[in-house]
Amino acid sequence: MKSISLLTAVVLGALVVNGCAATLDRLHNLIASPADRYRKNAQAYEKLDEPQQALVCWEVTAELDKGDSQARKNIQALKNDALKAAQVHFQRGLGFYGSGDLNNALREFLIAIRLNPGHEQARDYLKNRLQNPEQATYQVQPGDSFTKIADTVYKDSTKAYLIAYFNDLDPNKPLLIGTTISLPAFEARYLVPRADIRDLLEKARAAYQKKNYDQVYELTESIQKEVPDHPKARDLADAAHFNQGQALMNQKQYLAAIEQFKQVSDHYKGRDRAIAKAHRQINRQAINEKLAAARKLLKNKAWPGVIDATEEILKQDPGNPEAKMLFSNASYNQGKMLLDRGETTKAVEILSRIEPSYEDTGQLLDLARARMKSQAETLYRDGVKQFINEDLEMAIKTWKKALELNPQHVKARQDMANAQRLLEKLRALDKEPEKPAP
Amino acid sequence: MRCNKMRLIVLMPLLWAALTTGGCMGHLAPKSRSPEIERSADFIITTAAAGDTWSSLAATHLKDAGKAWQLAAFNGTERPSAGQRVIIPLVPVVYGGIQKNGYQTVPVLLYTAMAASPSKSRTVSDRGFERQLDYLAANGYVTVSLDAFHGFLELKEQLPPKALVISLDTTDAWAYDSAFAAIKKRGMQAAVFIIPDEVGQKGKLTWSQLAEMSAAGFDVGLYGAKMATPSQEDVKTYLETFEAGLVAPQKTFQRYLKRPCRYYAYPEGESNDLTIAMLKQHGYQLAFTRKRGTNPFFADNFKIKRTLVLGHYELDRLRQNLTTFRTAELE
Repeated sequence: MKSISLLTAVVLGALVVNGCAATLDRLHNLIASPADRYRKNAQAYEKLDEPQQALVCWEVTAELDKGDSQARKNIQALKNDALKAAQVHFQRGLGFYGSGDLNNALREFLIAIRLNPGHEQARDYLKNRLQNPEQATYQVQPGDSFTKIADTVYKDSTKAYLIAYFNDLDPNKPLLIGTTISLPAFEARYLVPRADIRDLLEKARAAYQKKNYDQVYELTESIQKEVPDHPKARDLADAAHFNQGQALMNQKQYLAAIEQFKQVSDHYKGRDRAIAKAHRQINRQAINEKLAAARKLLKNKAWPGVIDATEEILKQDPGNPEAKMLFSNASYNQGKMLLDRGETTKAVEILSRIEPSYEDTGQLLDLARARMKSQAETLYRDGVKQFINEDLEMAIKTWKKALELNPQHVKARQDMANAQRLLEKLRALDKEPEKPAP
Repeated sequence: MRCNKMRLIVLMPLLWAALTTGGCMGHLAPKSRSPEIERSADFIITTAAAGDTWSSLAATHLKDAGKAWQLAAFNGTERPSAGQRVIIPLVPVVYGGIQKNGYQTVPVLLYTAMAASPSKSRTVSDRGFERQLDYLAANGYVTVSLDAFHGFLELKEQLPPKALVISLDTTDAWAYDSAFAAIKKRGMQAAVFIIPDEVGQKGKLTWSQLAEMSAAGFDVGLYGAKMATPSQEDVKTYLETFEAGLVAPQKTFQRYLKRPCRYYAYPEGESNDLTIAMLKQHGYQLAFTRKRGTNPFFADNFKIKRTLVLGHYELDRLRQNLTTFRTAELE
């Protein structure tokens, strides 16, 4: 009781001397521990729905009272709640922004920042997109370049470096597809196309009309030196190279045409098709030359030469009818000649590669195969004689030849196998040391 | 508890006002002997020593006595008592000055001419200027540096609730003779935007005066040179010249003031995207227009609005341009 009376007296005295508010302040500080004060402040801010202020107070509380596990839990819960709530407001803001309601978008983005000051996207919208609605943005598409965009937007590709400059990008490096770039609004005085470039372009166009392609290249190169990748200059040069390539195609100068086509930009319409066509023409030209040579060889009855030449053509162009015809003709004549010479096996080998319906190929083959059968039989018999004469090695060799002519000769195969076994046994006996007679 | 909570919120501006009336320029505040007990990324915990003030604590721990108001507001007392456990926030507690009922905006006042006896409408009289400064001080307005203002725009700094910036677009001698003296006397600060080539000429500021102003806490920025319209053929050359006009002063500033040139005022306040691109490229952080209005944290750093104060402005008219809070439902 004494202490309470003393405290009351001190409080009353202080109130009289210092004034009410200041004394209450000091009194509060005296009674409550620092951790308690910040805990109460944190709770108060939470009730006021001021999560950031509450968060700081809870963090101070947790630092002052390290045993306060609830404070740490509250910090985590507050952080999570604030992040989620901020995201909800940001999404709402996006919706408003998308529908053009910038006032409500502003409000929602501000709430998102109030709840989560680290919300970078909300900040970006507040700081950049809502503040500069007149400043257009553009997403880079495949095939875009600074010059192409400058040409489209400002009708002047010389402004390419300004776009690069404004977006803090290197004008000499390609633009990444999908990148969003800002397109600055320039005053009219900056948007006047350069007269010198315009003049060069006009001259290049005139030269193109006159099919003076060398002059087109010269002029467009001058433009490109000033404005790298100038789209109109590049288009003109492309068209000139393409037209020159087509003219060379008409003159059957296919290799030179390909050289021209290769100087056309990759995306130019018809470029790849023209190059492929030129390659096809070159192949056709080579085939025609080979066919002519084959015809000449055929005339001279140089059948193997014709066969080699036409085989080469058919590898490149399997359906070439003339090559097929020349091949059949040469093979038939070569086979027939071999047959006449008695080289039956070689004749069969060659004749088998052409259609049996070609001339009398079928009959020739039958004749050759019958000859082979007969020769095989003769050889078989010779082999038997050699076997009887105990010349096993020679018999085996002869039967082998018989089987080469007629692989279906059963007896030759069986006898040869027997002879081989006998020969092996004899050889084994020869190796054994001679035993004394009992 | 409600009483505590409300007191905390209501007292903040009053506490800060009490702190600022006597001036709180950083270099004037004594140092505190309070030891650092705990430090996290967001705050320092210390114990106030005998004789400590919020200014001395802010000067010691934040290297900026001007942030005394922030300590007072956070700790909820007018002054620290010896032995009191004190929290020193290292990050904003209220980011961007956003509250449930609105958000902070920072007015930037612009003066372009000053004289003892003005003859033109733009020219403010010396006495009129002093009256305006007194009005600002008496009504709790606090001038802040451009660094602090930039920090506010980047959500890195919290400014006093009634923060404002005073700017002078001039290289004329009055900036030192009249404005600097009046501002310094009241413990305030300002920014002066100069044309470096004019410095040292007759009737103009000198580099030694500017160095003195800079040492006293004034910001010095570049006033952009107005150029002729380029000819059609020579836009690129024109731009290169223009760019050189932004780069060369940076070296001059470093040479004479030993500080970088990061702030820019558009000639006649006319901004354009191209200049902005160049300013960004060369490390400028803020650029000032003459478009009227105040600046929330989300203002474009390169289109800062300013209010041109004219010679005939009475205090009432000035007050109309001092909006420091914009109401909005942000719940």
